[in-house]
Amino acid sequence: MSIASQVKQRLAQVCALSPAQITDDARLIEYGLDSLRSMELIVELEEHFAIALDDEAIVHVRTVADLIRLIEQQRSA
Amino acid sequence: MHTSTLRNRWHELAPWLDLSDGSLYAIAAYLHEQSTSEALAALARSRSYPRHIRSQLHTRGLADFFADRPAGAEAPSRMTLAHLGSLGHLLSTSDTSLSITVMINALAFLPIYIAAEPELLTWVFAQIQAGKFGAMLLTEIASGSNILGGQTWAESGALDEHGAFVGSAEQQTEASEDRTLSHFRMVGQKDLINGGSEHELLVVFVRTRQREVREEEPSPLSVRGDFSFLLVERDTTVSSPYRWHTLPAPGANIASVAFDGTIVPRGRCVGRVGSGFALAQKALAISRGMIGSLAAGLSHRAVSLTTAYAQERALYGAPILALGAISDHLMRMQALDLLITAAALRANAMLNVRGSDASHYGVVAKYACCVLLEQLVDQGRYLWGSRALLLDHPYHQIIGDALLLSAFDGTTHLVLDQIQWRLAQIASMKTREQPAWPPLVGAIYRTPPRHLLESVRATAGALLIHPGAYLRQLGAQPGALSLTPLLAVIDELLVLTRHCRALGIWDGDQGLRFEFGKLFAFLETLIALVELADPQRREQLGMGDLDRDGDIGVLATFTYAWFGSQQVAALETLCARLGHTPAEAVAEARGTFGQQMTAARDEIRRDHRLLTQGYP
Repeated sequence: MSIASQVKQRLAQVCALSPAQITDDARLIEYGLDSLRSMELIVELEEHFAIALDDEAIVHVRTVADLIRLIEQQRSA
Repeated sequence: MHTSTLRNRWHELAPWLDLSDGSLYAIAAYLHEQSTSEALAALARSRSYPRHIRSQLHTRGLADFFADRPAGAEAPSRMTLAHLGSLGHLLSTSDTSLSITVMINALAFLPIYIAAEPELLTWVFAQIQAGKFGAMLLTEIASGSNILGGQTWAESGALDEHGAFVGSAEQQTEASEDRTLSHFRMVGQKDLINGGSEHELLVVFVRTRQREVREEEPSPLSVRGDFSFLLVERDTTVSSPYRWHTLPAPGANIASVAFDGTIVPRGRCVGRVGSGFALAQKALAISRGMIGSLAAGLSHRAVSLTTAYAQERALYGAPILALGAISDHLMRMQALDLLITAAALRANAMLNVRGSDASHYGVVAKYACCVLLEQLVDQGRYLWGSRALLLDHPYHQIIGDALLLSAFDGTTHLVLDQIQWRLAQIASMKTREQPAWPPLVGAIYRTPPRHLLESVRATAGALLIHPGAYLRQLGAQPGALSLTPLLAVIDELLVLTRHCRALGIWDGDQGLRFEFGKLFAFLETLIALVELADPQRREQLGMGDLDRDGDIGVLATFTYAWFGSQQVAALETLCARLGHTPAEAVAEARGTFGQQMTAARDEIRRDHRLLTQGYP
């Protein structure tokens, strides 16, 4: 499964949606991500991909595509 | 009169606690002394902090519940969630001011247990063993439960050759952590802090990064990194400008704490700089389950007092217990006590094994135990009548204390928001992809109490048991309490949740989501009752027998059917409100619960000993 699919799957799980409802260009706040859900999502992603997401880079993540790109960058780093 | 012993519902239902723990017995014996009861009552009247009692508890091994002794010490560790839950329950059966004064240590030290480096952990343990208490400083009046709105600020810097603080132009983050910045300087104020002007070790949630105001929309993921926990010892720059005297639990010290340029060494930052919010969430996930144990202790106290009164108070030539309406109130009180205890123990067991990953069960326990406690206290108030209005009556104090517990560690709205979120997640799960839940749940209940550091550092992903799948699997074997009606209600709730989400009316109606959340929390509480009070389910899940002197079977049946019928009514109300026709199984559940409730109630009314045993 691609990184994009894995990210969407975890985002869907946290937001109680189906992966098919997650689109690349959607803003994360459209899926109801508040501070608590976002913490759970970050923990899920970090544990699943075995990475530590950079605090400064996270600040610029606003869309699903932003999030996928960040994970791909950190995985390849 | 003090009525608590270690033989009570908590220990009857607990899956694994060994009652031969010396410290719990020593503390229970001390609390049971007449002089201790009188001292606590005097402290309540004068609204004074229980300093002497605190030191007496210390001599009886209290510190061992919160800190390991140095290596080589012979005493077994009591640093487990099982021991803490039992301690909280025990203290709460005696006095709420005392219980929250002591148990705030659990919340205060949780960030340290979770993330402190070994050197800091060793230092903190030594302080606790020396008798020091901790306070958790999260809240600021202006921001309330939104801890991310806190303004208490810790500037990074270093000390110059004269020992004066020199601030840095750079803000500390995890990525840019500069180890030459050796200190923080704190300014700000925290409010409504338990132990705020008395406790020695202050665990402070503080902003360590200020963000520029941006014109563009902030990322929802950007909350991480702005806050840290600093461990502060009192000095001349730390003051308590205000103590709240008008809250319940009058002996507790609930005060503000102000920092006026307080210098904190970098080594007192708990975990990574910027990890504060994540640590706060993990700590609260665990502490909310502990609130359940406090509620269960207070519940036991209320029921014990009231049961004794109902036997002693005579009217028309017989104890009032013989009056039908009185026995009904007492029956409901005992049913609610059973539910509160079961929910709290379930959370305790889940948190023991899965730590903050079991946050859902802690949140359910906090919500359900506090709400049901208020209902229990109301039932007692009807029984006591005007006596409960007397300011110096022990039951009057219980009324206020019960309301206070729900204010700790998150507002009702905050916890309901989490519960409804989990309900939506579960409703979106595919039931055919569910694992075998009974072996997993059984393994959780059979796990002996783990060392607290193991429990709170556990990471295995969020634990979320699909209740429908679980009950179907569990119901493959018979039990004393039939799962069919409960399963019918759960199935329909999940159908209704999916229905509301599909229609687009879920996200926009917080009040509706919270109604769903309430019902879900109470259904989870019924599952806890089934797991812990049904002897056949306990055997199926591999737990020991119910540790009881009497028979709680009839009471458990009444509790299940009475509370179950209320949930059917709540579900049917939701269905009617949404124009949804529930499955026939729901009406059948209503009938089944009703018949069982009537039969159990009649049996209890024929033999009042079923109401008096279990509450010495």
